[in-house]
Amino acid sequence: MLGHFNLQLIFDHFDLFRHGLWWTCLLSAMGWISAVSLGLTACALKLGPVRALQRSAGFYIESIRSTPLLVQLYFLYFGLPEIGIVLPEVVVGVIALGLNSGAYMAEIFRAGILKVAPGQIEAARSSGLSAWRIQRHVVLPQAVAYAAMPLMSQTIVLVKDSSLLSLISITELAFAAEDFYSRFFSPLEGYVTIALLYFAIYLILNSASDHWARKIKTITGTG
Amino acid sequence: MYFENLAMLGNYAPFFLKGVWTTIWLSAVCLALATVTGLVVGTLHQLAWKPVRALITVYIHLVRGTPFLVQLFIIFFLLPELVGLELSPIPSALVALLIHGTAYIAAIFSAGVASIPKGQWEATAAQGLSLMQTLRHVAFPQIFQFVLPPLVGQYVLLIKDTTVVSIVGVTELTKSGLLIASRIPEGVTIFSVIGVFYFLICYPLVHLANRLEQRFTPTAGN
Repeated sequence: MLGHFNLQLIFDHFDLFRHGLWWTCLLSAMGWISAVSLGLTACALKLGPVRALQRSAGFYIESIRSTPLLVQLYFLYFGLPEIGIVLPEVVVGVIALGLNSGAYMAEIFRAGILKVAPGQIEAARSSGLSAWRIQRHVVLPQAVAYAAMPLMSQTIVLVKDSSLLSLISITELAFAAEDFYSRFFSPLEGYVTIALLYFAIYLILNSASDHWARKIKTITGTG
Repeated sequence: MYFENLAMLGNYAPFFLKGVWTTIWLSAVCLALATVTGLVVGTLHQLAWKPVRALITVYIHLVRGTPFLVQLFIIFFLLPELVGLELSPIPSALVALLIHGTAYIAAIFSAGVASIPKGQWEATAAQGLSLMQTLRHVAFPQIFQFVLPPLVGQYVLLIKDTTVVSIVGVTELTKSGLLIASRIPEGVTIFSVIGVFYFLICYPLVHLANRLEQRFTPTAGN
C-alpha cells in the first residue's frame, strides 16, 4: 500500500475531490450562518431579562456542549423521520452543524460582552448615554473584537466537523475519500488528499484570523 | 409511547452498558496518556532545540488543521502496514486519539510555559537550579492555574471525539446505539438515551471547566 502510493490515480479522478471540496465549503458556509444566528439568539436570550428564556437558552447551550456532535447528528437523522419530518440529508446535516456550533458561539458572544469592563458602562451611563447607545457605541464594538478570535477558531472547528456529515452519506470531502477507496481499493491516496485539502482551508482561515488579530489589538489594546 | 420504547430498550441494557464502559475506559486511557505526552511535547515546544520546536509546531498545526475522522482513517490504514500485522480497530483508535489529543494538550502546556516571565528562568539559572528543577519547582506550580481551565475543556472535547472511532468498528457507546438502531427503528429513544449517557459523563467536566474559568481567569480591563 505504501510502496505504491498512486499519485496518477489522484490526478485522474480529481473531480471527485473537487466536488467534495465544493460541498464541504457550501455546507460549512450554511452551517456557519445558522450557527451564528442561533448563537446570537441564544446569547441574547441568556443575557436578557426573562428568566424562563434564560433557562431555556442555558439548557440548549449546556446540553449541546455536553453531548457529541455525532450523537446529535444520528439523533436528527434517525429521529426526525420517526416524528414525521422527512428532510434531505443535506438539510439534516446543516441543522446538526448549526445547532452544534450555535451553542459554542453563544458562549463566545456572551464571553465577549461580559469581558467589557463594568466601569466603562458606568462611565457611559453617568455621561448620560442612553441604554441603546451604551450597547451600540461602548459594549458591542469591544465585544465583537473580543469574540472575533474565538469565533474564527470555532469556524475552523465547524469546517472540520462537517467531515462527520459523510456518515449520513452527504457527498462532501470525507465522502469523496471513502468513495475513492471503494472504487480503487486504495484508501491512503484519498485520505491523504483530503487531509491536504482540509489543511489548505485551515491555513486560509488561520491566516485570516491572524491578520484580524493584529487589527483587533488596536481596538482592545490586548488582543 | 416514548416510555414504552424506553422499556423495550431495557432488553438492550447490558449491550448499552458495555458501550458505556468502552467509552469510559477508552477516554480515560487516552486522556491520561495524552496529558503526559502533551506535557512533554508542550514543554519541549518552548524549551527544546529550534528544529525540534519547528517540528512540533508543524505537528500541532497538522493535527489542528485536519478533521479527526481523516486522521483516524489514515492511522487505521497506515498502522497495520507499519507494524506489519492485522490489527483490531482498538489499537488504531487509541493511537489516533493519542496523536490527536497530544497535539491539543501540548498547545495548552506550551502556552502555559510561555506565560512564565523570562526573568524567572534567569533568576533560577543564577541560583544554580537545573532546568528540571526549575520546571518542577518554579514553572509547573505556576502554570497549573493557567492551564487547568482549558485542559478540562479539552478533556470534554476529547471524550466527545471518541464517538468518531465508532466508524472503524470500535463498539463504544455511539456504535452500540447504531447497532441497536439497525434492529429496532426507534432512533429518537435510542439516541436520546445515548445522549443522556454522554451528558452524564461530560457535564460534570463542562461544569468544572466553567467554574475553573471563573476562578482563575481575570476579567480584562479591571
